[in-house]
Amino acid sequence: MSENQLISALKEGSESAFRDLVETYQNRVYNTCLGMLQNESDAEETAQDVFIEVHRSIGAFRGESKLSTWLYRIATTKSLELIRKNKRQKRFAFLQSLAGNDEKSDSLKQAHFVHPGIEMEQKENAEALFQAIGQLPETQKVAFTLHKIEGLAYQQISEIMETSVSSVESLMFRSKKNLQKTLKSYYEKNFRD
Amino acid sequence: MKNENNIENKISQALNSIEGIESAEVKPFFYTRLQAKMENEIAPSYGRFSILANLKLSLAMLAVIMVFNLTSLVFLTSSQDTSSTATSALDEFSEEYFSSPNNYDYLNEY
Repeated sequence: MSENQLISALKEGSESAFRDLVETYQNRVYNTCLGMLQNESDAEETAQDVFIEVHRSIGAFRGESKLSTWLYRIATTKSLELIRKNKRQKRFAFLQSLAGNDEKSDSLKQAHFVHPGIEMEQKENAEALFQAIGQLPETQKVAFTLHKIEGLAYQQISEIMETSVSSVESLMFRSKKNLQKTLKSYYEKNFRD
Repeated sequence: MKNENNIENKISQALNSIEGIESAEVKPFFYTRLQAKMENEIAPSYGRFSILANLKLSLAMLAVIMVFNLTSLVFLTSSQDTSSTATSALDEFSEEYFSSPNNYDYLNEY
C-alpha cells in the first residue's frame, strides 16, 4: 500500500489501515519518545497518545509533508509537553518541601536512565550523557535526539522542526557544546582524584 | 594536568557512547494496549451524553413528560369544575339559612 493509499484509507476510517500505520511506525515513534523522555512507561504512554492524535486528526492532514514527518512532529511535541508537565510537578513538589511537607513525590527522584539500544560496555558513559541530554534546551534536545538517537538526516529534521537545515546544524553545534560543558562539570564533581 | 586529560577523555567517551545505538522497540501487544486506551478515552465522552446520544430513549422520555403534562392538565380542569359545583351548593345553603332580614318578612304575615 502506498503512502497516499494509506492516508486515504485512514481518512475513510479503515481499522486495518490504522493497524498498518501503527505497526509500521510504532518503534520509530517509541524510540523518539524514549530518547526525549528517558523513561520507558512515559515513552509508551506518549507513543500511544501520538497514534490517538493521528487517529483523531487524520482528516485535517493535508499531505503537505510525509506521514513520517508528521508523526515525528507529533511525537516530539507530545514529549516536550510531558517534559514541561513533569517540570511543573517537580517545582510544585519542591515548593511543598520548602513549606515543610516532607513527602517527596516520585517525580523528584532522579532516575538513572540508560537507553536499551546502548552497548553493554558503554552503559556507564551513556548514563552520564543521557543526564546531560536531559538538561539541554528544548529545541537542542529535539534536534540531538532525532539525529543521534533516531538517526535522521538534517534535512528530515529541518522538515519536522519546520526550520532550515542551517538552523538544525546550528542547534546540533550548540547542543554538543552544551553537552561538553555539562559533562565537564559532572566529571569534575564526581571523578576528581 | 593528568586530571584534565582524564576528564577530557571521559567527556569524549561519553559523547561517543551513543554511536551505534540501536533503536528501542515497543513491548509486545502495543496495538492491543493502544486499542484499550482508545476505547477508554472515547467511552467516557459518549457516557457523559449517553441519554442524548440514545435517540429512542430521548423520545420515550419526551412522550412520558407529555403524557404527564396532559394528565395534569385534565386533572386541573376537572378539579376546577368540582370546585365551582361545590361553590354553588354552598351559596344555596347560605341563602337558605343565613339570608338577609328581608327574607324573614314571611314571619309577620299571619
